[in-house]
Amino acid sequence: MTDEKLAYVTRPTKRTLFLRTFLPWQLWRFLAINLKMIGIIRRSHHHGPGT
Amino acid sequence: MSRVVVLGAGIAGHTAAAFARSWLGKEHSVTVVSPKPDYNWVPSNIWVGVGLMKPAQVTFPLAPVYERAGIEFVQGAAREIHPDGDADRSTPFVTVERADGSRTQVAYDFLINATGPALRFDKTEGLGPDAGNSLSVCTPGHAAQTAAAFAEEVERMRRGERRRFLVGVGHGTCTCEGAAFEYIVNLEFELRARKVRDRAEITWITNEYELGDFGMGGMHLKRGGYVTPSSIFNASLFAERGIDWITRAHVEKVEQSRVLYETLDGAHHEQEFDFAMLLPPFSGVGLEACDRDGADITDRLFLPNEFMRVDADYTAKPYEEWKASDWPRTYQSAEYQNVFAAGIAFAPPHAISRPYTSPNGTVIAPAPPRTGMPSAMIGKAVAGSVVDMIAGAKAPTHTASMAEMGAACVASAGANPFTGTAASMTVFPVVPDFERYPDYGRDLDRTFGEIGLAGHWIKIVLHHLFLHKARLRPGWRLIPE
Repeated sequence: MTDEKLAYVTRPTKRTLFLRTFLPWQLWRFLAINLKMIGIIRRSHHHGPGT
Repeated sequence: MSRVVVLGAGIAGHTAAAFARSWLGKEHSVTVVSPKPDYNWVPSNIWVGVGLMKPAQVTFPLAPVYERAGIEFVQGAAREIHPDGDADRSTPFVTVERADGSRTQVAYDFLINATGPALRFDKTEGLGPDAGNSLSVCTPGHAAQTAAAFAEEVERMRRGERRRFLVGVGHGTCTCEGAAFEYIVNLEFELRARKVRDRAEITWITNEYELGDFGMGGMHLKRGGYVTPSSIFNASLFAERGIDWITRAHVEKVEQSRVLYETLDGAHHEQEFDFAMLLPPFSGVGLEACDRDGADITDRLFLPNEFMRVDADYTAKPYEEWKASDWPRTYQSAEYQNVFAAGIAFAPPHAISRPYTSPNGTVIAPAPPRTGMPSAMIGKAVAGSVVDMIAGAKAPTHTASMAEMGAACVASAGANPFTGTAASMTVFPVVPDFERYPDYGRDLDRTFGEIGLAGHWIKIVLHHLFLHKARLRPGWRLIPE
């Protein structure tokens, strides 16, 4: 990869990289992301026949 | 008594058959026709492709599951639809070809075409693992072959060799960039885990106009006080992982250790490799349709790309005039009320991403994805409509427009319970609706994405949960699509 290409790319900070695998934070994110996804699924789903 | 026949046992077909059987009384029959004996949870094929899973962990035999559920299983490939019957029988049927070449007729009252894609490696010279020079993760067999090649590359690097990896899509009109993306970041993660990363040069090649397009026009995320396009996050991840990229590319030819490709500016280039995993473009599976007299009516049921015409607006129009309402809602054939298409088998009205053509006339534009959650939701909605129509409804009662539904997606970026990560994403709706959401086409409160270990845990949970559901084990109906 050229330095010119790299110069214009957003890079994560050390803190961001740390939080990505920091267990207490990721346990919280596990719950938060699941709740967000359940919201999307509930909004998108239709029910069975006759409904 | 009504006969429901489902062509295909992928995510859409299997979901449709399971719900139809669950909702219909025993006096009605449900039959699945599929050339493959096994179900494949395709999203996990990428882990087979780096050697973390065996094909048996992403597949299971369909016959015992269908026997337990009361679904008839015909193993064979559907070849012809006779929606008006033929000279000998007045009722509709499908001609099915078995592995030994013999043909049989399967009668239906309602037909759900969920045949999925044909993998068109033939569209690019030298593409593909069978007759070409590149690898694939489209099937468990392809992925296992890719894993063996990957292991060989790792051994070479352990002996001190430097190796070049090329991953992406092998044609200007491919879809499924998301799967190739998961593969490249997992490959990079595994090279680090196996302590040979410093000897690998990894390059991404894609038909996307910008990184992070994924065939759905990319997405915008609210982050840090800005609305940021997904291209920024994709480029950031690649830069962080030391992965170089080539965008706006149409692969023209794959030679033994070199790809030749054209870019959107019309220029021709080449890229050398030692290992190439390039996904193929898709088409429909080539089903034909005949009227009662045996005349070919394929063009009435299918588009030239072999995907089935449904209740979409197929009028050719420029990108600026595309609308969310062009997309199908019921997936009913416009020609036959008792015929539906689900999953990849239905013909989209147009792409989602803006299409581009090079000065040489080469179309370089991702085709729209119809995988995973949307396919399963379409299969379930179609099953609901068929069940209601059997009960007397005059028209389809259920809808599942991709312009009205959201999707949740977890893209693995490395598989390890403590150091792995995945990008968790949701979009709403899948197809942007610029009339409803004028700025970005999507509801930004329901469109988000983040990378982290939690995403990997979710990906693992989903792998087991969806295989449990597909095996129709206790409680399967409670697991959402």
